[in-house]
Amino acid sequence: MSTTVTFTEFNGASATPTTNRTEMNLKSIDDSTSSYQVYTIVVNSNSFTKYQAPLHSGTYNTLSGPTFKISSNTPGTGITITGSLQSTYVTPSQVASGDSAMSLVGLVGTFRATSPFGTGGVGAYNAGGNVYASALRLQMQTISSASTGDTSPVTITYMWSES
Amino acid sequence: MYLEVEFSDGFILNQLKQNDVSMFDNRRNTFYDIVNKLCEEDHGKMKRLSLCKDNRKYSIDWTTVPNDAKPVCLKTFSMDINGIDANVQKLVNVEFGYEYIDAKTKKIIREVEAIS
Repeated sequence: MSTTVTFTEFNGASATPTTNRTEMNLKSIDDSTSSYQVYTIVVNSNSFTKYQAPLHSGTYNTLSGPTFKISSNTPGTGITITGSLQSTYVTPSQVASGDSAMSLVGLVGTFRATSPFGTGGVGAYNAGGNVYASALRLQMQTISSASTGDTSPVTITYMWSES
Repeated sequence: MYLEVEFSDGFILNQLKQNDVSMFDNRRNTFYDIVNKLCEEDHGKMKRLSLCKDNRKYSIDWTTVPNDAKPVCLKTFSMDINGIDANVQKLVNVEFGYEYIDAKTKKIIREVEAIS
């Protein structure tokens, strides 16, 4: 017995949501549908930043400890995946986000009822109903020595506790 | 995995049979009813709290725990996103037991067992 978690991606200037995302491929276009194999990232440039947030639905007593981590933040030579948890949405772009390399250990976020963005996030949520956890912002950043072709695959893991 | 509670009048509250929906608030789960003692007005005090998992039953005799004890059933989950597999939620572990405030120190004492 647990809540059901799906991922919502946000794109464009107005944070248009797309629900039920099953991958977080980083690419040179700000959308949730195009193939990363078509919109490749040119060496010495960055992917668009990508925002995705978990949405919990179903019944629960309390949700707590929403945490993201990555299996590798250097999936190839000259390639870094940066990441942070965000409560503020900035229109995705290829400008370096300023985030650090995505954590291998875990970034702990908060919960918000109607949107992952805004004020008033809480570490433990017990109001019932659908609720978002913090949005994860990812970006792939490359330098001139970056290897070409597909990177090694990496896995993003989302963890949480509930009663 | 599910919880089962026996009350003093013999009523059994079973998380599976309730489809894990509170009998008092359809946005909450069965544990909400248990931890807030919402069934005790109709069925008397809790006598037994059990966690059933993988054909094993972990039971607490609730008549022996401190009066103000609250049930604990904290489940930790993980979900991998890698673009290959469909997102699958995995139960990592469960903390099952109870907690209460120590009368002398005023600190919360947790008596829980980690069940993986």
